[in-house]
Amino acid sequence: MGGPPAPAVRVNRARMRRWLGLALVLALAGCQNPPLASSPTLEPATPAASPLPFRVWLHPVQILDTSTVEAPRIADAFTLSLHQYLTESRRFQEVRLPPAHPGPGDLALQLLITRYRAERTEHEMGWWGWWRVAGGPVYVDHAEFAGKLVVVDAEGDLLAEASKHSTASEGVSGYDTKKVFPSAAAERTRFVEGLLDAATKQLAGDGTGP
Amino acid sequence: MPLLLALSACVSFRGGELGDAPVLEPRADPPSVAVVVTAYDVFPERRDIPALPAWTEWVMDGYTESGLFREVRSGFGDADLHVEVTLERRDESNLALATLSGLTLTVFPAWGSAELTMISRFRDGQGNELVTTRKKESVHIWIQLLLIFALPFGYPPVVSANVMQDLVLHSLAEAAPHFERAPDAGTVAGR
Repeated sequence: MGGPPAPAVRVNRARMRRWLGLALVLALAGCQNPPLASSPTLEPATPAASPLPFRVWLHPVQILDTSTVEAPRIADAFTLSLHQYLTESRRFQEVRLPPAHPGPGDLALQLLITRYRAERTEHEMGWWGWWRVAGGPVYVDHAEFAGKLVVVDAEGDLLAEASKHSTASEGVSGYDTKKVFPSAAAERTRFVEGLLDAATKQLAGDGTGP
Repeated sequence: MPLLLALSACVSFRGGELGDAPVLEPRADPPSVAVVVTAYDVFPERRDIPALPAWTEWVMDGYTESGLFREVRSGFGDADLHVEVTLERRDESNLALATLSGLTLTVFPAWGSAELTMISRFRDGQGNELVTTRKKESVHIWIQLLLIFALPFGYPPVVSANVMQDLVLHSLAEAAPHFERAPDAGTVAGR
């Protein structure tokens, strides 16, 4: 009596297959991980009109924020980014990578970071894959940096010291994830730039130095 | 259906641009080296790579197993040689193929490739630049039903690790003659 149940079963199987297929597609899409929240890149620097007449030796950046995972790796990458930024900015005659060997008339510069947060958190995520496909506002970027920049001469005497704390947050939509944390890169650059501005003013003798 | 999924796998194989790994011959008193590794995706735009810890480990293994150095350490620090290694990865994949592959439960294959470029900047103990090398190799990945049986021959992490170590060896082969300007550096033989 009635029709055979087979068609209904076939429909269910087809539907299950579509769902599984879609799940697999989403899993493959998941291979494209959200970008690294702790990216230490800096934005390109604007060249200064005239460099200060010093050769600067960089000490490795130190991240003292113990809540930051992979702090040593980030610090090394940050050191390289800072070197590139300083070279591009032409604030000094020459900027050299660690290890630092400052000679007479040279400066040694070190960035000490006490707070390093550059995170991308999921926002309103029921099932991340669906939201990513839908392209809604799925992430919020948080950036917070605090620390100080110290400049000493070859004898280790303190010449300049500047501190700064900066923070920013921004929502990022699913389809924008390849743009990668623009707010953190910008905030990180503002943080470094602010420290360098204050330190170079002190080196130029504006009277605010130690 | 679960059986289909269980038999699906992805395997990797190399593009072969690098050629055979060079043979490196250390000096009697090999130098120490400090290595810093950073990595970026360069397509569609430059950005940091999340999987960096594994890559760093593979690069460090390459330096250690080269046999050219008395001591290999990570990061900045006092050493006879300093190297800044920058890895650039350019991924190429077809989302339409991946979708089709997913919808057919990998009966239809999906594939993609990644071009890995290793830029190594060598400096002496005083920070003076010796040489910068640039080596490139591509890694292809293939996803399909039944590839589970080929997995032992192309397990992606193993292929990637081998590529990374060969990139290191080729970089060292090109750079080693310039180590003459640094104290106690190695030499290259059998290239």
